[in-house]
Amino acid sequence: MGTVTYDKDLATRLARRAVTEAAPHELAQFDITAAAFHAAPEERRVGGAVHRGDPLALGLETAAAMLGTVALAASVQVLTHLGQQAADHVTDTARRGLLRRFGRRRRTEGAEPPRALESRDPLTAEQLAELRRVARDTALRRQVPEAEARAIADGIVAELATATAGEAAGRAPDGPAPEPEGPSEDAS
Amino acid sequence: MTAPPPLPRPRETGRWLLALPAGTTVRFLLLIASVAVATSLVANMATAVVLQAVDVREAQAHMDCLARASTEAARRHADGVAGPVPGFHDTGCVDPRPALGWLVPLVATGGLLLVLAAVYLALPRWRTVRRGYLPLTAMGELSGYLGGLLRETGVRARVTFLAEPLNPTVSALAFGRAGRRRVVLSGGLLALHQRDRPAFRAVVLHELAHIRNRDLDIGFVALIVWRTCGPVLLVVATLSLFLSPAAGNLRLFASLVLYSAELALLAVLVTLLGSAVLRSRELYADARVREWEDSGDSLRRLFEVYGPGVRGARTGTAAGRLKWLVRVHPSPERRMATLVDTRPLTRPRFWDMAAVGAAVGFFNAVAGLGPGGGGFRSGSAPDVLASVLSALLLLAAGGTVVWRAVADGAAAPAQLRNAGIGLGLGLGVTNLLGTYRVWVQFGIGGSGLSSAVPYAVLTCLAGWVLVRWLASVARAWQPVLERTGRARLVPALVLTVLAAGLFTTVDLVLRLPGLMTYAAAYFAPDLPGPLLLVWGIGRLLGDRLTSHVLPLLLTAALVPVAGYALARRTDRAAQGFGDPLPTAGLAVRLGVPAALVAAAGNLVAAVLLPSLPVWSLLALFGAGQLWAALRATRDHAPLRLARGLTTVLSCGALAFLAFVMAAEVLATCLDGACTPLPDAGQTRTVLLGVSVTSGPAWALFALQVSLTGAYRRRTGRAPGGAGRRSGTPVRPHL
Repeated sequence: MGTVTYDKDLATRLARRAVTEAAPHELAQFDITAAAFHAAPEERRVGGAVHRGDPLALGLETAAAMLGTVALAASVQVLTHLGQQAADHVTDTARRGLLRRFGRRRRTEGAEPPRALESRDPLTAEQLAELRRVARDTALRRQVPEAEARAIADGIVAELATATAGEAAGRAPDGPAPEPEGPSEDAS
Repeated sequence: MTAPPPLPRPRETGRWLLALPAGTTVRFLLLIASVAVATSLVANMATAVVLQAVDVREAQAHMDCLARASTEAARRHADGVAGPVPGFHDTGCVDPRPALGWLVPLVATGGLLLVLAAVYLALPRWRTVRRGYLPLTAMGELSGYLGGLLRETGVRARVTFLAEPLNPTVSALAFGRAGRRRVVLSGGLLALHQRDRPAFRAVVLHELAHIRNRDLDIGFVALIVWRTCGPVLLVVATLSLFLSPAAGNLRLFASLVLYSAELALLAVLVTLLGSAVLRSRELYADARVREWEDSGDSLRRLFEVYGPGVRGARTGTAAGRLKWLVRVHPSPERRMATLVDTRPLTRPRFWDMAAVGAAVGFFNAVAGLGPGGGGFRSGSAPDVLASVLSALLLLAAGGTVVWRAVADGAAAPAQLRNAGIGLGLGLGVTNLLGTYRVWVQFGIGGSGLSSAVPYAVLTCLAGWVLVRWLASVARAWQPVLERTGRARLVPALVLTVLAAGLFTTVDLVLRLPGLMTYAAAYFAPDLPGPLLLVWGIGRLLGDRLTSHVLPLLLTAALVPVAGYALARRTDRAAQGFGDPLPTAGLAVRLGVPAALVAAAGNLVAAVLLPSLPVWSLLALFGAGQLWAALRATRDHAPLRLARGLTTVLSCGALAFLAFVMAAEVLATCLDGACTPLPDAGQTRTVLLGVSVTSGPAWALFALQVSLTGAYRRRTGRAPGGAGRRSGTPVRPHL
């Protein structure tokens, strides 16, 4: 099972929107949470950094609901899902191209992580609904209550829609100027 | 859901409870010292054996030669031939081991300390990197709030706050070396900063309390020492056990088995007591937070809402208690109870004190062996050093526990009795099981083993007396502490003085099993063990009157009396003493009239009846001392036993001195060459006389006081009877 690669800046941006919707009290710590999340191995990202029985700790060991890490996990899952769809589309296109052009194959080894918004087309409602379902299911798997899971999903999808709509508006010759973007879209 | 009722108002404990030195700190240092000494010894012996290739069989042959030389000396002694018992170095027996210099042991010990120091310095950074702690960047509001808490609590240490963002538990921990303290806040806790500010505040205050209590280094270093030395001890214990069948003789086999058992027992003791001390650290931190907040409600709410199953924890059953015995955090019930009443925290406990006694006994046994792991060529220096350090650790550990209990009102007589018996039992049992003593016991066929039980009884009684007396000392000096505000300096000085005055007595108690074994083997093999013990103690004390008896009596009398005298000068009534009452005049309290009467009476008797035996003269002196003590303490002022002892000593010294000077005047002045002042020999006679008579005189005085007190309690008569006149002002003099 290989390491999942994804656009960390985009994932952070999506999750931040989700946290704003679902757990605004965690916004203050979101930056360091995101930094730790992206740097940690996958098994320690959500609930894996617990040290029970540490002699120097307070000894309470009760877990509080931390929606920031769940939002990040959901964002990553959404981008992974989106990237997989894009890769499947590219694969289909390349296969047709190969069939036409006798084996000319695009190099994919060592390529940058799948750019979820590579197509730069606004996501359709069906796509957004699918991604919303993915985000909500990811949150529910992390024992998040239904209301918070929906809020996380809504936030991620809303930011995705904003991002893709902004991309599309930026490409339109007569469209409005794109809003200044904070994070870079280059994968880190 | 209605809010739970507030906790009852905390019992007033006074501001000195947390200012006093923590008994847990000294006990932990004692454990660390024991483990470090044992590990250092193992390392020293291992390097010595490896580098010098000592043949164990040759070493054993040397021991047999020494035993034969001692037996021969004892036989000559029994035949009436005068001569000293040979020491290790003048028997003509060949020691197969080359001279063990101090280089190897110093290097081994120094290396161990360097390793521990390196781990202590490097561990905080390593922990930070390994667990991925991050600084609180871009969290200005939180950083400002935390800075405010630091100012509010008065914590002056440099503290760096870090985050463990992916940890969802409501948790924080404080660690770091001196000068660079760190407090890590978990992600779950950071989430509470906005959502549940009181809970967040309570957790951070708890961690700052650890820093304020200065218990971080103790816990940190203890964990390092145990995790570094523990495996070494367990490996050596296991190896010893497996190698013991190859010993070749029963004595070595038994010694190795017992050595393994001792190390395993030490491991259990360190684990249990270490866990107990870590738990008490948490309780003291809670107490500090309660002091800052002037209420325990914030912590109570924290434990109820975020604690580990507060309402579900079962600690009333035996299994439940056993489970919490090895935990490093207190049970929720214990934390809740201590928020209201700290006495369970400060109450001296039987098993805690037994562990202290056992640790002191083990430390003394190991440190006394010297760097070579045995008495060969190590001289008397290791024994003396071990005795001094053992006395210091014993009194520091026991004294701080008792002092805190006294300051907190948790020193009831029954609790002190249990604590004292525990202390003595731990010390006595560990001392009896010393490997070297077992070795000798097997060598002499088990002679004198029957003195083991009486010895354990003796140490239990001694522990009881010691703890009761420490409580009196603490009560006497507590007002001085409160007046001067020196909550650490006063106990430290007092306990150091106690250690200096009592270390010869502690040394004697620790050496008794070995001395009894020797006596049973060579001097009185047919005497039953209990009688041998009594006879042996009498002989030993008789030979050590000025070096052991006199310092003991002087320390026991003067330390509490001095504290009481200083306390009366501070215009503050000492706690637990009741109303201060008038006492007799200074001359009577020093036994001057009785001393003059006793001296005159003995002089007359000696002149008129020159054939009177010496013991009758001594009895007259003793009777005078007893009368002086009874007269000086007729009232009901506190510290009657200590004041009586002071009077006994003073009266005895004056009486003997007056007698000697009067006799000298009679002997010399009539011839014209008058030399009334005593010379060195006469001074020594005075000291010997005081040492001989003071103990029995005070014992009778104490017996009379105890019987009188018991009679009054039984008949219901109040202790403020004859001798107290209401309204009589207290004369402000010593």
